Amino acid sequence: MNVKEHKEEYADLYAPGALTVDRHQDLVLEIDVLCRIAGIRKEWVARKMSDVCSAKELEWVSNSPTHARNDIAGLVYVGVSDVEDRMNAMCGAFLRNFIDARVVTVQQLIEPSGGPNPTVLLCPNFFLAKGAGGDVAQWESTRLYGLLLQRFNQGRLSVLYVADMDVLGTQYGAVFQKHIERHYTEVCS
Amino acid sequence: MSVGRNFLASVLKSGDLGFLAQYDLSDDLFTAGENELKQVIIHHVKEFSTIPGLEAITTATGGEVSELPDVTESPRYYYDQMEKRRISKVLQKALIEAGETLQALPPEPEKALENVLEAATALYLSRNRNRIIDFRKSEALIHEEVAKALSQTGTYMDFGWHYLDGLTAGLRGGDVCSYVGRPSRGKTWFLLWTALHAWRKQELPVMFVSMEMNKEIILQRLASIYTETPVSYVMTGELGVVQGPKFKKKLKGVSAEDSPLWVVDGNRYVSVEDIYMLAIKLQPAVIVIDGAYMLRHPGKRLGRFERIAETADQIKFDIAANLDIPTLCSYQFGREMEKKQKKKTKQGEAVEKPGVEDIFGSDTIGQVSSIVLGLLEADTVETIHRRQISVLKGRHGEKGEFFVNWNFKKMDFSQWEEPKILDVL
Repeated sequence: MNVKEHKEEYADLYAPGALTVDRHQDLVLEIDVLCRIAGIRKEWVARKMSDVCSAKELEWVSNSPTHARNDIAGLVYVGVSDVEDRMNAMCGAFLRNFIDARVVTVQQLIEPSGGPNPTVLLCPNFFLAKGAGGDVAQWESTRLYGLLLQRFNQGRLSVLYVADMDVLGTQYGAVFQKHIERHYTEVCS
Repeated sequence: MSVGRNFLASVLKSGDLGFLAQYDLSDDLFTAGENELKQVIIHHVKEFSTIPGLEAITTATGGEVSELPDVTESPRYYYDQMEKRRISKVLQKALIEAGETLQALPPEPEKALENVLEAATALYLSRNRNRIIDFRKSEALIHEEVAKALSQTGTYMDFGWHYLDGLTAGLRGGDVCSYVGRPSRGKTWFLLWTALHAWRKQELPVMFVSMEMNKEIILQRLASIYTETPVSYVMTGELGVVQGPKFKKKLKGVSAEDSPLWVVDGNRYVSVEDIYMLAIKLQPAVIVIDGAYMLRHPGKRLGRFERIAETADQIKFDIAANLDIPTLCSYQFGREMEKKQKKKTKQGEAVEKPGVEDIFGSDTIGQVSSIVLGLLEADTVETIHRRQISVLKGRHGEKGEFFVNWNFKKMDFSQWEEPKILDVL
């Protein structure tokens, strides 16, 4: 298939303007498999991140290669409402830059066999207060803390959703809360 | 016939000063007459840094040596003859002395044994003189090695990836470097990249032996990297009006390169002996064997794994060490490793890195390799345009990993540099 034929076949993906044939042809050819691994729909790869995310998030993704060197472990959304879309868009932007980003649930992270360990991990239900849908037992929070520390030490970024930082501190402990406050870029709106 | 003279004549004929530095030329290897000629040659080399011609030798010996034997063999051949002569001479002397001691009254068998052992030990040490050194007398050698490493001269070769070159200081004579990975992980591409780098940037003569692909495919791949033309265009012939002329123009540069790059179609019928003989003839500074586990072995009764172990040994000792050149080989990881990895990937578990112990065929491969590079990254979006190479074993225990480009548009397999910022829309 030549370039023209390829562009015609995948016109719906190239139409929004985030993907270019020159750079992303190989990615588009594998897009179904890659999106299944990443846990997002392919529309999120095709769509511009700026459609959904703020300038602060765009800047954070743009500078992500330097974050580990600057002691930044990730980004935390605190109490925002449309976090699923924002994380999906962010994951799509990472994929377009050929970075292994995956959207996973907190239940996947605490599975006994151990969850995935991609370069960028995005967890849209990382902390929901008990009574608001959160079902992580206190002993499992230790495991989550260990996982965040391990990823931080490996220079892998994590993007988390926390419904309320203070409640997280109460339920998971002050150390957990301090780690996030110190090493994560906070987005509250 | 004077083997000493033949040796010296062969060295002069070869014009290679390296032979004089390489061999132990102690006086007891030569007869008195041969020693005189040897001294004249060494003096000339020290004085003028070149091998003397017949005129200089005739003048220096006052006309005593006016012609040299017309030799047909290499210096190494005659050197072996000289060594045999020395062994015979020393042993004969020792045995005569031992015989006399045994026949004396009273006979002294212990003394006879001591005489023979002493002679045998001296011969053994003498034969291995180049392999043994007293650290107290090694200053000059260490300086020489440091200078070689600094100037990247001699048999040092780079990989073309600055991380690895910095970590290992490149390859030197006698080194074996193994590229290990499961099929389609890029072993052949990376070997070709290294071979082209050594040939083009360092101007080293390279011999590339392919056990898996015929020479036409290897040439197509070399041409595509050399001209930076997508290999798919070269293989299908669909170069087009833009790529076509560019490809032709760049390919013309091949004939102007300084050193030869031989491609040998191993096609599963080549043995280590065949490669050795070719190397003697072609004199490459680097040998690359793609698919070394497929090399033929004369031992028909050997099992597959024994054959792989034997050939790995032969590559190290008969080729790399004996010819004093770096040798790069490719091998495979065992299927078990991949199964284990796939299972873990499927379950979403962290994937273990492969190790030297996972090389298919034999532990010998890891043992005889100075450097082992592993290619076994699970496929993700990140492997579309870059691949990770892990240093599984270094000469001095170094370990590490780095990324290389996997760019089939520009045929670029150079070291990958992380972008400072991402392109975000």
